[in-house]
Amino acid sequence: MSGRINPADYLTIFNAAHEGLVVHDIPNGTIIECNQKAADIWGYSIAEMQQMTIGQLSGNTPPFDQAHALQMVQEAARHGQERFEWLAKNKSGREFWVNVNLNKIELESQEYILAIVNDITERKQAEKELQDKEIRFRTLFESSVDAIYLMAGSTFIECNAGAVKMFGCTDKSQMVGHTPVEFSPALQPNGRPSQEKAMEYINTALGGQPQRFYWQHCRRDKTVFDAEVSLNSLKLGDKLFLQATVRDITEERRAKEALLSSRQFLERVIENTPNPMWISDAKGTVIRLNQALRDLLNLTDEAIVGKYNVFNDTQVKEQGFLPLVQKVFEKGGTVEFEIDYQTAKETQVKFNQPIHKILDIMISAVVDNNGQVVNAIAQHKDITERKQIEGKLSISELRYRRLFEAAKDGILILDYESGMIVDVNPFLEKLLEYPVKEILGKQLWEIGSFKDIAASKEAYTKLQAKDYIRYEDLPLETKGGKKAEVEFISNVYLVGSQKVIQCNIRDITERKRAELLIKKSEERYRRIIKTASEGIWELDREFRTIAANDKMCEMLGYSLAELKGRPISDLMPSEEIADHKIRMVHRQQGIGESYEREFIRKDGTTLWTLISASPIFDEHNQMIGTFGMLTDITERKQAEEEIRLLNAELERRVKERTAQLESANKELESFSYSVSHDLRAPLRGIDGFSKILVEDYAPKLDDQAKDYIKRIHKATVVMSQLIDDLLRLSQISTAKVNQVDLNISDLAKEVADCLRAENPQRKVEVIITPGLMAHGDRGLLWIVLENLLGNAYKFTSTKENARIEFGQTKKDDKEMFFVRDNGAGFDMNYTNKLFIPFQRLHSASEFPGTGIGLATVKRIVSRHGGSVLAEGKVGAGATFYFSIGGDDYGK
Amino acid sequence: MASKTILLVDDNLDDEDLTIRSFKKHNLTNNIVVARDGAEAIEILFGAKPLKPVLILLDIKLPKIDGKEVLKRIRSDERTKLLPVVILTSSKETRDIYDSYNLGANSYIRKPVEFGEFMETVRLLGLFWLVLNEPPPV
Repeated sequence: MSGRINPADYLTIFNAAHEGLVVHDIPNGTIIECNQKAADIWGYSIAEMQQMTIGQLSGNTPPFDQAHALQMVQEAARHGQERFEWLAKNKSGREFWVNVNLNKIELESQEYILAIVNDITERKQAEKELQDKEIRFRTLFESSVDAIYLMAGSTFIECNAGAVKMFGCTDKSQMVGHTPVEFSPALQPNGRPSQEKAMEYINTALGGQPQRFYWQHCRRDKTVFDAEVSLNSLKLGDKLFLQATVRDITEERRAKEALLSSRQFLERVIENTPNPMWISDAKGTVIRLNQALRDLLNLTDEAIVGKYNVFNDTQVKEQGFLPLVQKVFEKGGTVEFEIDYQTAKETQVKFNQPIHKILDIMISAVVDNNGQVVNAIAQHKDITERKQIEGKLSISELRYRRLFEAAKDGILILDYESGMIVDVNPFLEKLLEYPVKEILGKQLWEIGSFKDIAASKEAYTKLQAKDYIRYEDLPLETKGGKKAEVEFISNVYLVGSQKVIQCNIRDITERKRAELLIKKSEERYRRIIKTASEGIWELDREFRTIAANDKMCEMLGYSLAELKGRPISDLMPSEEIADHKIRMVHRQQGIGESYEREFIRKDGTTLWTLISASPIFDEHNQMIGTFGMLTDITERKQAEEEIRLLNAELERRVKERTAQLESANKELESFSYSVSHDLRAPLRGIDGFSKILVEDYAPKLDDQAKDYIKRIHKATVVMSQLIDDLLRLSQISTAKVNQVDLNISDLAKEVADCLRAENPQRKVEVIITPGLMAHGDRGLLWIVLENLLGNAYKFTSTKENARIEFGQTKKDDKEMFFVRDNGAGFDMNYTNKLFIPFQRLHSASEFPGTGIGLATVKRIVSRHGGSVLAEGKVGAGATFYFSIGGDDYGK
Repeated sequence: MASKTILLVDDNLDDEDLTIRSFKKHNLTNNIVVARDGAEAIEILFGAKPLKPVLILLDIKLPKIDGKEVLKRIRSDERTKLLPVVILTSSKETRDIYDSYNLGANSYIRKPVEFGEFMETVRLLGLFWLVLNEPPPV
């Protein structure tokens, strides 16, 4: 193998190629050659293809139309190659997508375009489907009410609108870059830190186990809500992300709890209540019992449920309670009776062992909405022991005994003589953590808790003497070593003829701790208030001072004593009272607000404050006063006042100056008017009568006299022109400049046309650069051009081939218009004189003129914020440059 | 020829002479009554023996009552409201031109300074208003 392909084999390759190959000529896109694949793509035969152009392979859908196809061929011819996707049309008229690669090739020194074509219809369809799918998923993502977000590690990188809304954000940026922990309370309801627990879930999910769990989230404003979160790891590219869906289940939980409370709750209450009870149906058969009853009577549910009926209870019958029970089942209500109950006598139920008890039974009917008894509840109280004790104790004693036992104070009874402890109640037993047997029969100071108190014995002695002793706080130690603060009161009284001592011991540990906390926090607030840089003022219901901090007193110049009890309105200037009354009403309505308020200090000066006031309420929601924080804004107010005064002064001066200017303008106007009117009239007389002199007395005048008259005439003409020019100059200073965008080239051409018409005898070549734009007053720019072009006309009057140019050029880094001529020119030494009124560089006999034209030009140009300058050389022409507005304007 | 009287209102004696000379020179033989100020013009037009001129040549800047005020009176009086009034003045203030037309002037002519031009102007003025122009019906 030589490694080279035999030229004849190219045809084989050409025909065997998997791409469609088409050779086009460049001018018309005619198909010179194509392979079978290309013919197949379009559904033509090769012979048919060879009759066609590239255009015919396209449809008519812009931009994929025939004309454009040919353009692409020609583009490829220019650039060597073009790649693009194209909507082609096959023989049967169906449009389909192809990928086209056009290459310029040379065959037998002629340039052609080789098109390499692939049918990409399927790819296009797949792309479209993918796009549709993505849109579907995106819509799903965006429209889901569940919050959906993506996390990298524990940071949000993307979230949907549902998430933004659920987390109380206003837009995505408040979530992206943040972490779920920022949107969780510090602790979850089970007490675990959110941070720790969240990382646990995240890591497990990242480990590939999808997580679904209950979570307490919070919104941006820190309000908490219940959520169900599911976490899935997601591999995008080679990175691992977490996708989370969060559902707000606050409502669900609430509903569940409600259901629980309606059924299960009741069940639990029954089951867990310490009152032994059973529930029967409407006929008196037991259907349910609780644990306490099982314990009390030592039985199982099987033994009693469905078997025991209260109406068949022999003991109920025997002891005469049956009518009571019947009444409840018939009419509703409750009955209570004490029954001596022996399980051995009950035949309906199999008890595990015989029990004899005295029971207090309370049977209550359960009625439906129609008042029909549907169930009955029997509650049992074991009063066996009580009955036994009652047998021994008198009722009164019993009452005190109960008091003693139930008391929430520790109670000790001591023998007065010996100091021996004769009784102790369960509460004290619990408080001191000593069992009864370790206390009874001992003396007080023998008990560990009181041992270390040297004063105990002494106190006892004192008590014996005084019959009463009280300690506000006595530190005790329990058997377990716990510190307890107690209040200890002892007194002595007689029981029958015997003296006993009763000691009441109250645990005040908690109270002490709370007091200390309050004291500390009070101290803190007191300090804050005292040292605050704002005035703090507390008023009562009548808006009289209760308290004020140092700063407030300092601001007002009064001592607290002077302020106390004084209505706040006393310190206000009268004009503030009306507003104060409105604010008082607001406070009474419970409205707090901020506003500015003026006070009078003790020294009579003004104090301006910014008040933030809020009403204070008592526990019955009654307004009992006002709390205000006040900032001294006197300086700011004074500064504002100063500014106001300065502004007023400035305004007054501006007005005054404007008035002066207006009157000056008026004067100038009337001056100009007089000049135009009155200065011209005498000239008319001078000229007129000198002419009449010639007309009427010609024979009497010699040539000399006639020459003088001619000069008088000339002088009047110049004078008249002068008056007109001067007038115009002065008007320009006061004229309104009405700037618009205009074509200054056109304006120059109009002026030039006028000049040509006025000087028909002159032959002047005028060259104007067309299309130059300017922003200026049309009338005033006309005068500028009239003067400059007029001057150019005038000063080229002695030239054979006069040439005048108007254009734009850069001069000193600035775009400037210019008027150039090849006329008389001027000496650059006198440039500064050019623009001064009445200054001329030529004599009137040489070139006529008043010397005001260029001064007028300069004034117009500067009124446009531009500048003007001149260049010239004697005998070699002059150039006048001017700019208007542009970058100079407003500088 | 009382019926073809022209009323010339001008305070400048020179202008008055030049105007009259021009009329004469160009064979316009009308009787010319001159008022030297606005008050006099009003007296002539609306006084005890009111003059009925065929044309009024009115200057603007006049002693006592100015030309614009005179024009206003002429236009507001039933007897004179149609009278041809030509403003003949030295002013070429836009304000004056505007006011004059606004008050109903029939024409506004600026007095040229140059004698030749002045004569020509008056000639054309006379020719137009006294010969060519058809006067309003009496």
